[in-house]
Amino acid sequence: MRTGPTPETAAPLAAARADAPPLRRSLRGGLWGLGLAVLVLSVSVAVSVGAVAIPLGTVWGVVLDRVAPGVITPDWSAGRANIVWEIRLPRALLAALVGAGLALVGAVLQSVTRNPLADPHLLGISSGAAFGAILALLHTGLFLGAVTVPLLAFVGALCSTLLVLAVASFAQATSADRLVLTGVAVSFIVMALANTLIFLGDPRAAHTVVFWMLGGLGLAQWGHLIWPAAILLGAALWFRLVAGSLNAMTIGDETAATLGIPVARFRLTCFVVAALVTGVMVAFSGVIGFVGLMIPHIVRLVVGGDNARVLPASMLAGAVFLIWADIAARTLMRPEDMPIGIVTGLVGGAFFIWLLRRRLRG
Amino acid sequence: MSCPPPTPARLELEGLSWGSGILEPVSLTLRPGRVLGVLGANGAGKSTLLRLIYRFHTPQSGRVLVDGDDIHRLPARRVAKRVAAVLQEQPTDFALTVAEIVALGRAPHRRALAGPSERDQHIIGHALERLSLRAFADRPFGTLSGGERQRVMVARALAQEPGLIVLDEPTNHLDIRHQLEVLRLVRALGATVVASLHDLNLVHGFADDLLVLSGGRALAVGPVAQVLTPDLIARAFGVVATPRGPARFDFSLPSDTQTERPA
Repeated sequence: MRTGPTPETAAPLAAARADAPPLRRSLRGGLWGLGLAVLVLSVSVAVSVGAVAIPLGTVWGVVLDRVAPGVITPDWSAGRANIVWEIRLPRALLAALVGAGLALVGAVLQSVTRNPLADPHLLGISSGAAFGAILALLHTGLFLGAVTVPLLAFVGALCSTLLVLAVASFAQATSADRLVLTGVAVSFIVMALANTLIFLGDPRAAHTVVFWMLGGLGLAQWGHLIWPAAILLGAALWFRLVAGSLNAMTIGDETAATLGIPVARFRLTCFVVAALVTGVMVAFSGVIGFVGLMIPHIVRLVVGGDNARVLPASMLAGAVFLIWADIAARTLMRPEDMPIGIVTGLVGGAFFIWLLRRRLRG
Repeated sequence: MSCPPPTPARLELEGLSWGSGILEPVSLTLRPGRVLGVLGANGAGKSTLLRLIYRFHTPQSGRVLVDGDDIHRLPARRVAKRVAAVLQEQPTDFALTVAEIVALGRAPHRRALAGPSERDQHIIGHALERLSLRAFADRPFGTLSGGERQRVMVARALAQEPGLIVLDEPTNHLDIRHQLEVLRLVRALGATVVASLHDLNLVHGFADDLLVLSGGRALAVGPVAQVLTPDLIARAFGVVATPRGPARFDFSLPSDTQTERPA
């Protein structure tokens, strides 16, 4: 027996749809607006806070003056303007880019591995990137100019990603939990190799590298922001385009295949793009863990599971989180700059325990 | 907007085999709109056969023809518009809602960059209605019971507008009432159906035709009444089948005349 929709079933259907979504849509619009406002405010506070406190009004004044000179008359010293524009603003923006990138990659990896514990750090991608970056910083020199470090970081991230996938298939660790264990194992090995590179390198440079590896945004400059910004923009657009396929991947490989998705190739492509983003982020900020694990979970509690919303919301939340983590890193042990990886590690580790507890009960 | 039901597909298997001995060559023809039950003990090759039909495995030899086209020579997306599968995989960790999961069925019909069209919305709404899921549309999948989850997965397949629906043990982990309910819903979808079943008692009233597998070989194919004999059951499952014993029940839904449950 097959029937088309009868008028009786079709009418209440249309009516039900008409009154439910608009409310939710405006609520969602409000949430986006609120999120963006929080992001702008967070950047402003990040620029304002520091050894020299600068009022928010001055911060916005300096930015406006640089973007559109002559609109207002400066009532601040050139030194303060420099602190705002040359030091603190690029740093806050780099924090935002790195946070957004890591959270995006985390959300994508969780979907394609169908594993809520996936994260660029846990899957060994970050360690590979660190290995590549250390190789460039301590051993090969910048033989390709400024792109050497991000490029080698990407190659390192890609190699360790492929290594994780190869080891996983070799060890037949196809289940989601075992893939993460494989990532952790590969991560240990790659980190050991990276530490060997540091050990063999110039001891004075090594000190800087160790510090960088713990995660730090202190070296941010305007000229460097273009790389993470461009890569992140491209990756975000592409992932947003395939958000539907990412949703399908969360059901299962076989079901995704019956929906017309070339599962193996799609997953590999996602891993390569994830490695690209992670590589460039690690090159500029060091190894910052747990952002990619934590943020998508929190975001899903608010916006639900559809990746069309999860991906942009994760980027927003990741950016805000890392800006505040950096503020904490700069202020908790003033005047020392604490490595930001320590802050995210503490918060993230506690979150991980909460997540395990929650999964146990759920 | 009218929603013409998809035309049921004709399925032909021609000497289909896989993985040296896991599935020996099987041939059969299933006329449009018929329901084929695939029976067999664990490891008999049921899932392998199904994977070949929903294009997850590539045949070692032989062909799977849907409406005369060899599906293994067609692009995946084209096949996805004709063949849908309801498998045991279920997404519970990612907070997708029922409506979002059903909407995934529209993916093969959508062009890149295009959002859901009005027709997509209509078909999704229809699939939800058909499986009495309207009230659940905005519920996260993970909060549903086993029977409700299975209905969601069937609705997702229905949204693909397939001519052929393949179901891998659709009654697994369901209590008796939900087993009967799911089977009745599937039967009423109007598509050609291939479903593996492990419970012999569910075959009557659900399947028109039966394929019995044992050790990767087809023991029998044909209409249920001809195929399902005590002798065949003994050969397929290694048990002695007595047509009727004491303290056995026949199960059916209380209101078999009523076609749909009120939502």
